[in-house]
Amino acid sequence: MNDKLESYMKEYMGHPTFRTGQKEIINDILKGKSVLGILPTGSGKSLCYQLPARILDGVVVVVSPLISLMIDQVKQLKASGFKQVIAINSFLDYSQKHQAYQQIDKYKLIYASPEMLQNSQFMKQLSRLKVALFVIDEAHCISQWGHEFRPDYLKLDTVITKLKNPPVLALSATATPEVQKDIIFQLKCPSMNKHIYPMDRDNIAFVVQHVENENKKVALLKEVLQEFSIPTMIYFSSRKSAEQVAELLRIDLPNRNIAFYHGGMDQTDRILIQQQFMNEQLDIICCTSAFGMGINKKNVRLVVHFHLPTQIESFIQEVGRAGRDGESSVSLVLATPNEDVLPRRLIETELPAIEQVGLLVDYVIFLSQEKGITLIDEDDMQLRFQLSKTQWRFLKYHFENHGMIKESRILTKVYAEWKSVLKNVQRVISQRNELKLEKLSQLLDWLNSNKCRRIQLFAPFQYSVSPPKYMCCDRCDFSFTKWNPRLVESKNSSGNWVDELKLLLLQGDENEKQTS
Amino acid sequence: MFSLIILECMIKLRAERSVTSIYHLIIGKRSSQTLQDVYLYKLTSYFGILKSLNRKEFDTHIEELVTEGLFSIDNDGLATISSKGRSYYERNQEDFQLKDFNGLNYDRISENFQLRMQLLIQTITNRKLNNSTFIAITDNKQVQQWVKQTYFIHRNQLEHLLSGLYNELLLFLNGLTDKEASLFVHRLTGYEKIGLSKNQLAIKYDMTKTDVELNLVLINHKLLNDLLQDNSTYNYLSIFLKGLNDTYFITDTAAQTYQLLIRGYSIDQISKNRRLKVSTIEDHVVEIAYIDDKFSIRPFLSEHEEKEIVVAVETVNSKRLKKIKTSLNDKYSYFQIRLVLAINR
Repeated sequence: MNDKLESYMKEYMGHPTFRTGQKEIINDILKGKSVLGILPTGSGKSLCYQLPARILDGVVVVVSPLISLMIDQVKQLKASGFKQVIAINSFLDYSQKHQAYQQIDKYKLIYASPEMLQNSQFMKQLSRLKVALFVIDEAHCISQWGHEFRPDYLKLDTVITKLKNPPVLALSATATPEVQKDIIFQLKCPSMNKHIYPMDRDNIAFVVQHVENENKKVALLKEVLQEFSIPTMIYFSSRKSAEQVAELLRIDLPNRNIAFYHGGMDQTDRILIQQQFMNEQLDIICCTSAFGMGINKKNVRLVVHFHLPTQIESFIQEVGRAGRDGESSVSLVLATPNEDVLPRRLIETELPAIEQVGLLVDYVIFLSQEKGITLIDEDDMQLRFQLSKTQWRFLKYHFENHGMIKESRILTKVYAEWKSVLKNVQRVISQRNELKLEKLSQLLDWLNSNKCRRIQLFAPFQYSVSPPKYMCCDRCDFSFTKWNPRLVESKNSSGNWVDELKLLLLQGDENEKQTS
Repeated sequence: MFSLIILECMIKLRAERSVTSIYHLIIGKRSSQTLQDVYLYKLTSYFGILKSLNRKEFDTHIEELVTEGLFSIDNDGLATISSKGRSYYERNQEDFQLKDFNGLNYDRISENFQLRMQLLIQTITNRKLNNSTFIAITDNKQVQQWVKQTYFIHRNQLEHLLSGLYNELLLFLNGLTDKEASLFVHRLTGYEKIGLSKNQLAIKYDMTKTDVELNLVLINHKLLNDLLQDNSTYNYLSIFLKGLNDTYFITDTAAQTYQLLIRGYSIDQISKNRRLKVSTIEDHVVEIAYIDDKFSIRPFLSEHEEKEIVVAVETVNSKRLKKIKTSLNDKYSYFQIRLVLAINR
């Protein structure tokens, strides 16, 4: 079996070696078992279903909350020659969906967003197929205790039943033991085989630098980058500051190639910047969390957090983009005394404010009782109560769940019922907020702790960490003066357009000889 | 370049339309109001030339121009050009070949043409050097499909294709300014050389991002102008046009209405049949009137009535519908007036 697996691996992926955990998980899957797999970021989680997709008889369905990640993976698989894959999500227009449904039995691997799995038409198509494996990517989203709870994920157990209970593979890079238990419970899948691997990476050193203000952050950043010419990612929590700092760095580091990336750029420019970074045309990228998913660059040496995310899980995930080739890499956090302000604000605006929900419910009662209106205008609601899309989705989910509305129809106008549901939803909001603030303070405590950063960072997830391969952290042994990463030279394309065009279209003398 | 285009729009709109309508015009909003304005005020060349500009960026640009004193904007959003603005426009308009813009005519083909060229160049240069694993620089499925087929046809003559494209691009780019040619070439992606983003080009050539986009679109329109005028010189570049130039400009929904109109349905019948408001169908009819030279408005107006409206338009010397309607004592509907404006453009 194992030799066979290796030959499959060589045939389909072009290299015969597995990384930690992959082989064990795939073996279980091929035996038809359900698996909970916790593998660190950058360890090749997706191989655990991409390889079985080619081997198993039937189709593999993957649910993933990140549409951009799905699309990136489909692109990469197609580029590598595996064409029977598709991502089905709300971005497809009617005719694209129709076309996909027409030939749905041709695919070996189907990615779908959780929303699409609630679409009856799509489910009708899916249930016609023989589903060999149902994969839940980012499985921690199913748990209320997880850092990225997605209400739609709670409905996955019924989806699995509708698909005639195929084996399930639940994958996550960041799940505390508590969340792991919850995943198994919510999926009603007690017989899952657990494959839990430690999340720490022995080649990444952890450094926190405390400075007085944001200007000092930039100054320090310049110093480090001046010293080390290495592929670098710098994370920001706002698009504007990513742009601003990129500009400041560009002025002071004229020999380095620096760009910014965020979700506000148009599609073509996003692809270009991503590809430039992969292709070593860019050395330093100032980005928001929109960047990095599906980026499989091996030699990122330095991941800087100019701003903090809201929890340890995201932090570990982002840091995990460093050093995928196993070479010495560094995570650097720049922190001011007010480092909690931005993430706090992010947390507060993620869910609707308590008072807002009260006003909204009053309005719905008014609409249904006084005006006799039974249909909610969702756009109007969002505008009237200044709700973001996610905030409105959250409320809609809970109202639907309590049987107060269905689609956009108001099902009841009984005052007392609405008031009790209101109380319930408000309680959920304050609980979720509390939980998130607690998670934030975990991360903030980590910044200010005197203990070994490696041990402390991973303590919520595992009992021990493996000894570092290079330096450990600034509390133990790290200093930039002792660090010797492999430096890379910045590419520069200066040539005039005539030369550039010649080179681009392979019209040099060299190429003529090569091809003759 | 942006400021010149805005100024020209304002001059032609004669303070009869708001600044917002300029925004709709340059992003190419497919509404009958915008289409009507485009024809009425002879601004077809700028239609949809800045598709990715969002409202906030547009407003920021406009504010900057107001601060520079080129024009002022009143509470109704109507602009008045200052003498500074006017002389700035007159001084600079000669330098730029704004006349090469051809927005409305190329609206349906411009982007596809450009993407086809970029993706085919990326594909053939990578394939030529035996690299089959690269990530397409566009997600546009139609374009990817087209490139796949075209690559297949030419797969055994990649060398000819490459040198042919090179020679023709060289010929075309030599007719541009150095800066234009550089913008064009640096935007392209080839083997292990990814093109620059608009923002990167802006930094490199010290321009605003908006002007970079305008320049790229202008160059593209120039290339299309050349190709469509004389495609015997450009055998290879013409490949990218295949199947594109016969799509004429009309919104899809208006096209459906048109089909029913031809079969003799009335506006009311079409409205019932398509379950759309009468006013929407009327919008479609006006849109058709602008595009189809053979379109007759007789079912909606007699010759005498048409003349009466034409005279009124000339008398009030404005294209503001309300003014025209009032001057005719509300005898005619807005729809009828719009029709007359459409065929007498």
